[in-house]
Amino acid sequence: MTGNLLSERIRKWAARFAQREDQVAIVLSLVVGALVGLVVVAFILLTGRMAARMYPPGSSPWRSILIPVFGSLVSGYLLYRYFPDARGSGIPQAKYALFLHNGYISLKTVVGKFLCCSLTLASGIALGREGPSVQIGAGITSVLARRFGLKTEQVKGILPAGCAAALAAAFNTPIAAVLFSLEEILGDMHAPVLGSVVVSAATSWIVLHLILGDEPLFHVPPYQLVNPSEFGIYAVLGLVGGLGSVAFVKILLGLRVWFRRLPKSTVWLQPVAGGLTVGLLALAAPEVMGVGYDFVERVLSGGVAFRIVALLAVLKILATAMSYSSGNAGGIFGPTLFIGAMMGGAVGSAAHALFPATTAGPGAYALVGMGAAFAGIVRTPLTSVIMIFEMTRDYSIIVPLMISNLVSFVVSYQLQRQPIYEALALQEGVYLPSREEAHEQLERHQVEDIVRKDMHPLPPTMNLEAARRVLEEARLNAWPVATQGHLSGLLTAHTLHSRQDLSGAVHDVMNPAAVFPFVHADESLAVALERMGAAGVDVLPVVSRSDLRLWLAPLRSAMC
Amino acid sequence: MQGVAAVVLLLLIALYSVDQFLARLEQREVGAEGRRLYAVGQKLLTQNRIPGAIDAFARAHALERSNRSYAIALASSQMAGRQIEASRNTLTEILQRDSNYAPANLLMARTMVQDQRYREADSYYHRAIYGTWPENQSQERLKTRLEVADMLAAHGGSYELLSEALLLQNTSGNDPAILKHVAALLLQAGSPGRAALVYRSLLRVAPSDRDAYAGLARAEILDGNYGAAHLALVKAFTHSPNDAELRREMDLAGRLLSLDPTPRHLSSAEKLRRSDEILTLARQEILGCLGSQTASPVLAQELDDAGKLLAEKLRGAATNERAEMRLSQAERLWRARPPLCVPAASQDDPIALLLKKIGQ
Repeated sequence: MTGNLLSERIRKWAARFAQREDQVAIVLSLVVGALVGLVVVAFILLTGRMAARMYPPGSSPWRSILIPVFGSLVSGYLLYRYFPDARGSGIPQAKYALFLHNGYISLKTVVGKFLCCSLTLASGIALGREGPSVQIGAGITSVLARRFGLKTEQVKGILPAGCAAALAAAFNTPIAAVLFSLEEILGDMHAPVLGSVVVSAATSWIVLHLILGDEPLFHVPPYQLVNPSEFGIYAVLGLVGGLGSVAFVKILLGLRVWFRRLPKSTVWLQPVAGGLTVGLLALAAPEVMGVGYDFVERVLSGGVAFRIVALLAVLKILATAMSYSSGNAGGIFGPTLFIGAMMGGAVGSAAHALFPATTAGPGAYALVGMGAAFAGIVRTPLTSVIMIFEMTRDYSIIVPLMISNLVSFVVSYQLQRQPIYEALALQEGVYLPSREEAHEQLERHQVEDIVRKDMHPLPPTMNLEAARRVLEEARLNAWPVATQGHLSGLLTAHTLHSRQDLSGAVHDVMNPAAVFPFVHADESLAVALERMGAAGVDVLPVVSRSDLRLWLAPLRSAMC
Repeated sequence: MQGVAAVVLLLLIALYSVDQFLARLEQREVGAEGRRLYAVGQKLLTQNRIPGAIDAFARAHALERSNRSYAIALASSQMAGRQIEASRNTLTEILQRDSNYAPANLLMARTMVQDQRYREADSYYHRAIYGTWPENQSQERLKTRLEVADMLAAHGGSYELLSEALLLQNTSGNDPAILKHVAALLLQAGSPGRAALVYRSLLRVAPSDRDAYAGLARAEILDGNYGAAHLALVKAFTHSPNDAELRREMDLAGRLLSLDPTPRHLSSAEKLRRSDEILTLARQEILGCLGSQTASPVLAQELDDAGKLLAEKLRGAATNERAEMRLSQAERLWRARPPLCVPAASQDDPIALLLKKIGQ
């Protein structure tokens, strides 16, 4: 009797609680933080133990070729056959889930990412664990939120909390994890989900410390600025970091285009190219294998020769670009820090050799180099400053870090406009919102607020004369052409005027390969008007983010 | 919803268990690997293969940051490999965790000595002395105090050295080797009386100790007790009759005894003769040191005054007043020596020793 009463009370309390969305979000963030933290810690530990078994102390050099090849072969097959969504870094995939799939990530993808990445990383493939952790975290959050019966918008809202929790556990920097979720995943530093993100990141970090203790990811000697003239050398480091970042991104994207052109039947085998490359490079420099944080720590402590760090920066760029573009599961977050540390170590060694009395040791430069590479490749300058600050807990590093990051950011932006995750998404045919867009969306009306879906496109089979009359009656200089929801392009009055004979059909004048202006439903009206002005048309087709040929509706300038 | 909550709770418990298992497994395996690398490092160190040892210790240290033995071994090997900056970084890491950890403070002091930063070295030595040692605390403290005293003897001031030597005297117990070391430090700190006491205490336990007699003789010479010094040297000589060093010391003591104008039993004439000889020797030593160089006006004046005094025939009453005039002139002359001549007057120079005694 008492039990029934208690059960009834709990049910009533739960029903009342479920109606208060803010409280639900906070409680769920706590659960997400704990669960994601535990899973990511298991991921880190499992990967480490597997790697220890694959490469026992004093093992033969042949292992460095055979094991990466074997690891990439097995994981490549698993990814191809069972877990296609678990391929790649994990950060773009988490963004796809947020912006394209209403926050949906399947449990199968989470399991696949965990297994394939554990195998890949343990076998020594030159990729990182942070990106996969972010997708695993986002996936667990998505599954959990759906199981708890949250609405689509709520699921999307809680997803960044999972990403932050994963990064806080994987990288042991909770503040940087929060910022990364806002700056990179959401692209909005003022997002209303800040509370959930902070709670989950903090919970996950506590879990990490509960199990693995209070050890930072890197043990770095105290930073010191020996002479103000060093600021100039930090600017040079920013320049080198920016150029190195651009080289890395361009090589990776170029190789990825090349691999994507290969026959689809070879997709399962392609990761082996990455494994073999890493194995061969490891014969010359075993440090290129895996995440390489042990070696990063040695460089941060100073005392590694210039030629070694310079060589490793180049080899790691090649190994990671090849590993990633060939389709292995793993992230570029960790390798970015490795490359940055090597570039910084090289600049620091050279500077210290030239000006020993007025410069700090190479370790300080390696530390700043990590931030510079991160700012250049991932393009999250604020996160990179806070991340390095959190790692060192040394305030005096902030100014050199900001100088270096800014220079690296500007240089890489000038030479490679798109940040790496956006560029990777574009290669997949996905147009993710940029940070500027996301900011505008908050302040202004969106296209979907005014678009009318009862206006129809021209069918491609329509007679050209009839099409001309439609445009004239509507007093428009362009109109979308589509059939059964598939957009062919934009028919302009200019095209019709340039033809003397209008007896043919509309599809006769349409070029399927031509690039046409478009707009997405969640973009701001300001963006839409800007594009209309740039293209010189009165109308833009509104298309899906996941498929630029998927017709949704027309947008007329008069509507704006 | 309740069902989902229950599943999540079970999942949390299960994952926590799995994590704990994996963490313990990692701890065990990493611990074993760390011990293996440490042993490899020790072996390489005994073979004097320093770079290999540094690498092995660095890897062991990276695996188990909390293991201070690995960190100390790494810092020591880095010092042996002349990687002072790296060694200091390693030690800073240990001291950030526990600033009271004595072995790290001791090594840090040694890195400072290598960089000739003696004041900072002294500070780290004292942190080591008053810090926590993992084992043999009192012995380690004593050894560290001896080390800091040696450092002060080589590079520090005599006041600091005397204070360390006195502390050592109080804490060293009855170990003859340490007591001899302490006595030598007391001598160097300018406290021959205390040094003589230590040597005597040693001779009470070991009456045939040649070194203790030699030390006592040196202490007595510096304290101006030339008779006692001579006596100690005679006794030492009976135990080591062919010792050239003892012979030299004995000659010095004999010379000092024959020149010393201070004993009460001396007649006025003898005192005047000794004073005259001291002034003559002091003047000759300075002139010999100057060579062809021109003396400063003050020194020239003193040399001139000394020459005039020495030119007086030792006729008439041999009064103490006349003897004192010569001794005072010898002191003034000695004080007016140019810096060039100062190192020449070592602790084996009878004139220097005598004038020091007279000045006191």
